[in-house]
Amino acid sequence: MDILKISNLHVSVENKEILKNVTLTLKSNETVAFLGPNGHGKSTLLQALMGNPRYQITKGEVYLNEENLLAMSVDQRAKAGLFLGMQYPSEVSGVVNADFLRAALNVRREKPLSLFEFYTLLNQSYQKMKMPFELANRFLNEGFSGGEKKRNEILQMTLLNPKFVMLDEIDSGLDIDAMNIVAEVIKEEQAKGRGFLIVSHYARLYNMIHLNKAIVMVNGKVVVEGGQEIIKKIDETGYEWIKTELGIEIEKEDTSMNEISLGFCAAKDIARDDK
Amino acid sequence: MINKQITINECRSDQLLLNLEEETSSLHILLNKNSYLNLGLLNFQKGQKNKIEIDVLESSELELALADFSLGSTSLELKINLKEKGARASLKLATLSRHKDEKKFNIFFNHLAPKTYAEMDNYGVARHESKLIFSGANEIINGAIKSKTSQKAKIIVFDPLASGKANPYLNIYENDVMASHAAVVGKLSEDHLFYLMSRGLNIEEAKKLITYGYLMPIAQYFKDVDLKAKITLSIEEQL
Repeated sequence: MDILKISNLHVSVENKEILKNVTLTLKSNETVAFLGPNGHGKSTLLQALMGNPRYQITKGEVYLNEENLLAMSVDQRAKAGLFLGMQYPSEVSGVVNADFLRAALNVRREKPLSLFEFYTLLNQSYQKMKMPFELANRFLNEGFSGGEKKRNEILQMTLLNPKFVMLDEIDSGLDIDAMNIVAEVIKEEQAKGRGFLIVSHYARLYNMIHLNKAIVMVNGKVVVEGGQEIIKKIDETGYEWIKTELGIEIEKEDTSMNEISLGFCAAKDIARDDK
Repeated sequence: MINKQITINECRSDQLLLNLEEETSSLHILLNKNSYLNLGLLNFQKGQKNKIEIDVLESSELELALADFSLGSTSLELKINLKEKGARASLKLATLSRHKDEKKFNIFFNHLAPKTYAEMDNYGVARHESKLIFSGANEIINGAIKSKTSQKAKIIVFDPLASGKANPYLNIYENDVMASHAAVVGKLSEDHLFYLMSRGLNIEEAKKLITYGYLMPIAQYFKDVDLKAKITLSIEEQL
């Protein structure tokens, strides 16, 4: 069994502390539902675990089995067995989807896959995800619909064979048919013994897969742990009960505007008519 | 110094491939009325200083692809004059500068008649301590009504000591036209690098994949299969 142990983690973004003393243990063979209001640190935790340089870890430890995850670079964490299905997958123009996947697969192998092996594997994956194969020859996520981007994340997950899978709102942008496909694939991967940490706002996806535990993050801390009943309660009544039953004030999401600058790259001189 | 003159006759369609390293330092091309020219310009070896002027006459069309993967400093002045009604020209350029090279591309499109069309896409990568400059201007004179002109210049600055400058100018002296320009100079996107690295590619592999994808599209504008392969190999070797 693999264990991802997060101890007393504090994470800041642009000098603002978002995660405050997060302690959590994830095991392979377990799926944890990760809920909480918008802007309270769920994506921050996933991104920080993956090593996104925008997020500064100011305190705490994370161990993947005996290995110090925080001492690893992003690619080392991926090769050690971590996968992040992103909330907003990047569109990388010029990088062909198939070339990217082949490179990602080959960095994990001593001997690279032959073209035939690779395209056979890729074709099977596209069929499983019920995605048109022509997407493999398009630029990475460029021009993909929201649902296609999310399914592309799941496709990558199935190919890269991770120990722990973190999915950040994988169900957003999916129609019901796509949701069914994604849920089926997640169940298949659960059966292979992968650990899952799944962020979603809605019970629908959670009801379609196996779940071991649910946690709720508020104000950058894990405040509630429980089972399926937590998801049902949030789905029916929202997060207000956290204040009324637990006495935790839910901080409002910071929606202040960034400073922006408007500039012009062209100007036309108009002659004034002073008459 | 060698001067070369090429004329495409009226109503003719032609395809030309020129190696800029072959000591052609000044070139003039004339496209007569209703003609078409697909022109490929290549430089794989040493840097050169070249001057090219192309006159495009009524209803004729120029498609120009320029791939410069030479070693050494390069200077190219390219002037395309859309002299008569309906003249059209497009340019795709891809280049890579390395070590202490200085590469400068001065490109001018002059709209000298109504209903003329020009489109320019320049892509460059500056590595090590090199300097890469895209400059020039698209100009629409008074009277060149209903003309369309567009410029795009993008440079990725790969290493901290490399530099890139994109200075596209639009000089517009007529109201009833369409004109646009875009210039981007910057490092590789950190979000893109993070995304690729999160799938297991190390930073060098991620940078190469992105840069390769950035420059590779130029190969599709050359018809010759062997040449496409040579361009691909050149990009791979230099990255």
